[in-house]
Amino acid sequence: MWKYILKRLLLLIFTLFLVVTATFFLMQIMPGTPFTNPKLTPEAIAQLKSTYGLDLPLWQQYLNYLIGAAHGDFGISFQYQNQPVSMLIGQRLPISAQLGAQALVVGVIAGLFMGAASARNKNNKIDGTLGIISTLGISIPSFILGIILVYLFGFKWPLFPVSGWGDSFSQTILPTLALAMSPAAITTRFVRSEMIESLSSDYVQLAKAKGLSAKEVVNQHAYRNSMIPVLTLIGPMAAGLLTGSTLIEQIFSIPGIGQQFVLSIPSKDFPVIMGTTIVYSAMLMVMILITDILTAIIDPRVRLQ
Amino acid sequence: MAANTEDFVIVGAQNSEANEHISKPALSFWQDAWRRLKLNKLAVISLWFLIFILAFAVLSNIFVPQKNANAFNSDKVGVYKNLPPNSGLPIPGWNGKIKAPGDTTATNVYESQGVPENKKFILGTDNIGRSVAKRVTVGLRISLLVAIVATLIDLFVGVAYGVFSGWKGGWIDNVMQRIIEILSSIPNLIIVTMLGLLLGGGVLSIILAIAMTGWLGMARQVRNMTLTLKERDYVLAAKSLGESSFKIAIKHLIPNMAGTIIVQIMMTVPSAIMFEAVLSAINLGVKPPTASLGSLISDAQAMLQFYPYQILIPSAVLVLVSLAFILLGDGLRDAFDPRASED
Repeated sequence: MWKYILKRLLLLIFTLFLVVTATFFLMQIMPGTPFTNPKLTPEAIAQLKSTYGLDLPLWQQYLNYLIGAAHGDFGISFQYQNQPVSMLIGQRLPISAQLGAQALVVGVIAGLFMGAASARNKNNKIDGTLGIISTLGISIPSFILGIILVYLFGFKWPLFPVSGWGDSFSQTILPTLALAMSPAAITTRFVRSEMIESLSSDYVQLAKAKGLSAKEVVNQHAYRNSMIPVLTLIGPMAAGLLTGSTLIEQIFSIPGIGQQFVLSIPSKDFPVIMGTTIVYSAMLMVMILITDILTAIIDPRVRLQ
Repeated sequence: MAANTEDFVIVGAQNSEANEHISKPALSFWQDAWRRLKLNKLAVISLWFLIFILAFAVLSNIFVPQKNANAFNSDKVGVYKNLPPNSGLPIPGWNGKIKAPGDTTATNVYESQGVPENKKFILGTDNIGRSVAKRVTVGLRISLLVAIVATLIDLFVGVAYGVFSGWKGGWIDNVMQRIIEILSSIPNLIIVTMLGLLLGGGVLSIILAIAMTGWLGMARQVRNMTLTLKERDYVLAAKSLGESSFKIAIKHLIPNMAGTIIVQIMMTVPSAIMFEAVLSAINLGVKPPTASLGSLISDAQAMLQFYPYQILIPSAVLVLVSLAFILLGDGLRDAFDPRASED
C-alpha cells in the first residue's frame, strides 16, 4: 500500500514539474506583452522588465521560476503592482474551495438518495422522473443553470442574493446549487446502476432467502455496497467543478481564483495565469490521488493491477 | 422408444426439415442494434431532432448568411433595440409586449419604437437591434461546426493513438498510457485556455483547443477494446495469413469497435459545444460580430434582468442540442450492448 502511494506521489510531483515547465515556456511564446501602453517610454519598459526579472537569460528565468514555484512563490502580478501572485491566490483560494466543497457535498448526498430511490423503484414513474432529472443535469452546463437560477430566484422571484460572497450564507445558495447539479446527476446515474447490480447479486439473494425484510436487505446489504464505489467518482467530478466554478464565480461575482483567472486573461497578466494554472492542476491531481488511494483501500484488487 | 412415438403426436411441424426452417431473417449486428434503438422512443426522437438541426444548420446558409445576421435592422443607429419576441399572435410573453425597466405593466415596444406593422421579430432583437432569430441560427451553425470538426479530429487522433498503443503493447503501450495519464490530470479548462491564448481567437483556434482535450477519452476506450480484440481468433488468423498490422487495424479491429467509438462521439460533441461556450465566456471565443451559441450567451448576460429572452433562447438551443446527443448516445450504448442494460 505504502509503495503504491509513494509511486503515485512521485508521479504527481513529476507531472507538476511538467505542468510548470509547459506553462512557463507557453507563456514565453504567447503573443503580446502586458507592457503595450503607448505612454511607456523604452526606458520605462526596460525598468519594468528588470523589476520583473524579464531581462535575464531565458534559462535563468526558468530556473528562478522553478525554484520559486517549489517554494510556493509564483512571482509578482503585472496587473496589481507589488502584489505577489501567491498572496492573490492565497486570499481567493479558500473562497473557491468552500464553494467547491459545498457543491460536491450537496451534489453527492442528493445523488446518493436519488440513485437509491431510482433503483428501488426500477422502471416505474419515480425512476422515470429521476432519470429525466439526471439526464438534464448532465446536459445543462453549470453556467447555464447558474444563469437560469439568477433569473428565476434573483429577478423573477427575488428570494436569494445573486452576487457577492462572505456577507451572508444565503449568497452561497444559488452558486452552490448551480454547481451541485452535475455531481448530483452523475452520482444518481452511477448509484442507480450499481444498486441494480447489487440487488440482483448472490449475497442479496441470500439475505432475502434468509428471510430479511426488503428494507433490511436494501439498507444493510445493497445500499452500503453501492455507496462505496461513488468515491471513485470524486476525481472526475472535481475536474468538472473546476471548469464550472470559473464561470459560476464570474456570473455570481464571487472573488475566487476562477474569477481571478478570467480577469487576468484579457490583461495578459502572465504571472497570475501561470500561478492559477499550477494551483488548478495541483488541486485536480491531489483530488485524483486521494480518490485513487481511497479506491485502493476499499478495493484491494486495484493495488494488484 | 418406438412404442412411445405412436402415443404422442408431434404438433406444429410435419417433418424434420420444417423443424430446421428459420422463419426470421438472420440479423447482422447493425440491423439488430437498429431494431433495439427503435424501441427507445427518446433516442429515436433525439435522432430525428439532430437530423433536423443539422439539416437546418446547413440549409440556413442560403436564407440567413453570416452578413445578414450581423447587419443592423435600420440605417438609423439605435432603432429597433431590445424588441421582445413577437409571434404576431396574442400569446402572453410572445406578443411584442414587455415590461420596461421600472414599469409594472407590459407595453408594446413595437408601437413605441415605431416599427412598421408588418415587421415582426419572431425571437426579438438584441441590444443593438439585430434579429435574435438570425443570430441564433448563425450561432448554432458555428457552434455545431466547431463541435463536429473538433470531434472528428478527436476521432482520428484518439482511434489512431488507442489502436497503436493497444496493438504494440509492451513498453510503447506503457509510455503512451503514462502520457495520457499525465495529460488527463491537467484540467481541461487550463489546456483549452492556454491553447486559446496561444492561437488567438477565431474559429480554427477554438476547434484546435477543444480537440486537444477531447481525444484522451477516445484513445483510452479504443486502447482497451484493442487489447481485448487482438486476442480474438480472427485477428490471429489474419496475422498468420500475413496481413499487415495496418490492414488488420482497418479491416478487423476498428469495425469491431465501431459501437464503442460511436457512443464516445455522442459524448464528445456536447462537451465540445460546452467548451466553446466556456471559451466565449472567458473572452477567448469567436471574434465579434461573428456569433456562436457561447458568444450569444455571454454577450447577453448583462441583459438578463430586463431582457431575459436574449440569453434564454441561445441557452435553450444549446441545452436541447446537448440533451439530444446525450439521449441518443445512451440509446446507442444500450442498443450496441444489450447486456449492459438487461434489467
